Amino acid sequence: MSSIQISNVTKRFGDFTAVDDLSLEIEEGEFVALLGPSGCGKTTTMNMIAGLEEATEGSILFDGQDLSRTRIQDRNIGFVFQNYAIFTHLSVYKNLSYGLEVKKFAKDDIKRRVHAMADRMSISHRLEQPAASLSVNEMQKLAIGRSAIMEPRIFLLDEPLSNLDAGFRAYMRAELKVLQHEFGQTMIYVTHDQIEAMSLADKIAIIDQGKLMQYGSPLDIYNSPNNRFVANFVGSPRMNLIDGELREEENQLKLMVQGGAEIILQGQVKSDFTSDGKVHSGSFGIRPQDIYFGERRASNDIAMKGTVEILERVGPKRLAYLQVLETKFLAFDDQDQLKLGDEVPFFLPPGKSMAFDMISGHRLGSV
Amino acid sequence: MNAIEFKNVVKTYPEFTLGPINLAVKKGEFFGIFGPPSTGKTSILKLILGLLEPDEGQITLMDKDASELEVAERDISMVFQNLALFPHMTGRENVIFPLKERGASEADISQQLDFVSEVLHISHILHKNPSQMSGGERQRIALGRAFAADSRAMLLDEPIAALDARLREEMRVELKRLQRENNQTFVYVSHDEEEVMAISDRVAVIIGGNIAQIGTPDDVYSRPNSLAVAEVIGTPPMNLFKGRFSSDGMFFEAENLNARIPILGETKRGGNATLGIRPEDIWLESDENSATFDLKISTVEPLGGYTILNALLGDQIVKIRAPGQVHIEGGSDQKVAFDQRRIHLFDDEGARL
Repeated sequence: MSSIQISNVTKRFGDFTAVDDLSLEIEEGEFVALLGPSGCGKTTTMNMIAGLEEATEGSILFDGQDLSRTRIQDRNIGFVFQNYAIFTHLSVYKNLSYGLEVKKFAKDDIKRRVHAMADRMSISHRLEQPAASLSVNEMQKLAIGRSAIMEPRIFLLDEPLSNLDAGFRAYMRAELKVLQHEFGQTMIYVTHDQIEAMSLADKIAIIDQGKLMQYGSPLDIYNSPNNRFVANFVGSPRMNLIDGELREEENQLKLMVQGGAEIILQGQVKSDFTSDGKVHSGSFGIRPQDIYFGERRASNDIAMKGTVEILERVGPKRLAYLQVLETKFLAFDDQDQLKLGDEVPFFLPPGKSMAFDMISGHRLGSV
Repeated sequence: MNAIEFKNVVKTYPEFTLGPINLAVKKGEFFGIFGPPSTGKTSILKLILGLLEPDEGQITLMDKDASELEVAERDISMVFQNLALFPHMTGRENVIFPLKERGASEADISQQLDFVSEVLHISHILHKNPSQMSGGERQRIALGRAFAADSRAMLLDEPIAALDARLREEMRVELKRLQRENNQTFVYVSHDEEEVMAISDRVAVIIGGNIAQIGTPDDVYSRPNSLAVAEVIGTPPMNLFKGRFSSDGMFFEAENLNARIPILGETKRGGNATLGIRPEDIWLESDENSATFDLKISTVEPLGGYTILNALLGDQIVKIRAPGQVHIEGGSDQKVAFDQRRIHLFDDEGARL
């Protein structure tokens, strides 16, 4: 187990800056997800933690120690990659015992640990079979088990679930979380899947174009994204983000959207938009589940009207695409009574709406 | 009119038999085919397209016997999972290829190209060769080529699987809009249950080479007609308990359920059965009208809009989907109720009761 301090780390490949002045504190025993779109620099960051890449600038300390002179194999770091590196010609048992044998563990100790891990991963019945005979799902369990058996002080996982089918992915997600609780290891998990990051991690670092956009607990990030990128990236279905020009008219502040739609701002979100004393372009955000239909519930809820263009079944609910001129709002059909083509009123509660600056992307007002 | 009809269609492979398949896709319908990997989904598309011939049964396309139609006469486009782009042509040349083949006018070609480029967001990659494109970009060019052909029916085999999540959501809506605007018939294959359920007018669930259920997404989700369908539709999946009816037929009992569940309606007295309940139909409170259980919460997955709780009931893992953000710690004891109106029962053979 180990804490990690990443301070002002930059990584350049020629002219290209993959990681740009990134700082992160990871506490001992924490499960941290590095989340971002492909090419954002999350894998490069992980590779620097692992020692596979060297930082161009900045430092990475483990429990306050600089390990850059320590050989990778002596750092006691466990890896699980997307393409699980399994010895397919060896038995499942041999795959699990390999690392322990290299480290010269006692025979009985190895046997005990292999059986315990195989049990844990429900692959005991496969121990004597060649790894090549395993299903994709079992292969993944083996890959994780093989690293976990070494009880490394830091466990690095690079998109370990991306090759799995949806059902098994959900199962492994729960399993990984239990594993981490049991071992108490520091885990760093690279993913582009925000659902995985939200469900697994104690903290999420969201990275875009090499820069850290936000670092916090999943719900902090979900409830108060501090910029437009994070707001758009986290949450499924995605947050409605409506871009437009702010305009003052007849004592009202309106967001005028291209194509003619307008949002008459009220309450909290209105003061958020004007918190910097300027009237400029802005982006209005609201999550689909915060939009409602039927009777207006509070006097300053913002009233809109739209046409139901598409209804999708998303898990237990139906998601409606409401067309307001050229603007689309996503909302859950909370009363299960929308029909395609209907023109319906809907409401945006200002307290659940968010204001972003269009140019900088920063969140405006109260956060 | 039915655009595509299968009557008792069978295709036999050395290790696998597809069918007999019976289905009818209406003209202008968005028809989804869902099933776990290697269950015969792609074979169905190849049979429609004419790349495979059925060993038994009959395929009808727009009221014509398909066996009398050449592939080219069928007026059907297909987007393959392993997109077959011409490597020596640019994106633009790939997209307009079918139009050129057909001898369309320059004006038509440029209009059609503008239209598909806008919908698929490909204007900026039209000048590239496939080798310079990312997987997602190649996928969109392949879609563009199929759309440009403007054929009567489109067959899509996992067309957006290679794209990242946000783009996939966006493309899903665009595909649906395009289909509706052009009034085309779409047959859409995917192993991603959420995607098929979201996009389709009707869905066929294929399991082990046979159609397990055909219905609207709402039907298939709310009333899966067999245990096999219940197992594959819904994320996280339905919680299933193996057990039996009490001898008076009034209750369902199982080892892992520490309370009996009253059963309304017809039951098989003393017979074995499986009870299913979806994660969202378990409430985090006791309810006097529903069976209530004590369980232990093991882990909590906060997803923002909802929360997934993994719990143990007896020695069985139970998944609960609670609306909003709940503040329950892993390791705590919790009373839950199964929504009595949303219990699914399946008999010993797996058929819905």
